[in-house]
Amino acid sequence: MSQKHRRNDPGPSQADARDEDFVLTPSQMASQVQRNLERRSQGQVDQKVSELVQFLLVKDQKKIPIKRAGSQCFPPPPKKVIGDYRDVYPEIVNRAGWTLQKVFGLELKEMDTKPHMYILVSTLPRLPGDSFKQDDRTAKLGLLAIILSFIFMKGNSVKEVAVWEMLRRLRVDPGERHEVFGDVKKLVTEEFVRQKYLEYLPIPHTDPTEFKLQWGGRATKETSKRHILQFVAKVSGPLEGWDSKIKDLDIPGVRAGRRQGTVCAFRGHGL
Amino acid sequence: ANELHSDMTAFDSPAFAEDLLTFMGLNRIEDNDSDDEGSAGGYLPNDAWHKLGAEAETYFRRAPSFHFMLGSFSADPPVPRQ
Repeated sequence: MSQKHRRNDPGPSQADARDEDFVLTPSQMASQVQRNLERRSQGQVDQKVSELVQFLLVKDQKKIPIKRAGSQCFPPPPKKVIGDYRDVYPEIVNRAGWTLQKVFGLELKEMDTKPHMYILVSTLPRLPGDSFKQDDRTAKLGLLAIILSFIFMKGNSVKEVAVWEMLRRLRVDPGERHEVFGDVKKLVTEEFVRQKYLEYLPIPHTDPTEFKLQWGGRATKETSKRHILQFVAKVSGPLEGWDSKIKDLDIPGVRAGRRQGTVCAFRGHGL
Repeated sequence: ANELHSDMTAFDSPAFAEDLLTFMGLNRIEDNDSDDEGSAGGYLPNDAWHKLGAEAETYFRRAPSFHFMLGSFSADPPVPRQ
């Protein structure tokens, strides 16, 4: 039980193999995996699937994206979860994805950043008054929506100082503790950035270095310019000079609300 | 593209901020627009940010997260299987 007594696993220790070493090409997968699958009881596999689902849900608590390793089309097997089930890992991921979709209405999405990362996104539309619990995370999302709106309305990139200037009007000051957000400077430039809601980038040739804020990968997956525009319209009513925004949405490549493909088409299993 | 850019600056953020405050239920009594806002939020209701957040959530596809206490405390590492 004590931490000092770490027993060495005999034989080829899979615990020592790093997650990154594990790469399977889809072609290798199907048949080999099926064979490996037959060596195990349904119950054992189900157990692993639920452990992975749990892992992904817990990982999502803080909204920090899960990093991808290797080039396969699913997140790296968390060693602790998969253990000696690596040979059937793709199947376990498939079933976990299927479970997330069918049971929780969640989708595992890949963000096209380097390194590739995964996030969980809801597949169900949110409606006003759908009785989700409101807590400080709700309030933080309100702040975030304002910042994303501001960035978008200002042409997709904005100086950090401009953001603070804007937020001061809302009684939010980076220099003082906010009663809801606490250290708001940290929330915006660190937490939202780690969660990939925002990009926090140095502006070249500035001394002392100034920073600019842009949309992060998670923002483009969880919301869209069109939705943010709707949010602004809801708060402000139709504004003058919106034509440019609408145009921005119609430029190919930045078209908002575009259905982005999911990482993997999770196959349904008749489970 | 040029006119697009000139339009970009047309976004009136002070007005947007005002609209936000209204939306959040600001109590407009003697708004002093001084630089040091003291303990801000004195005029905003307590649930102002939550109210705005609840509205914002309908524009996001954020996954509700799963929290629990049982089993979330770290104990000693499990005994390796024999």
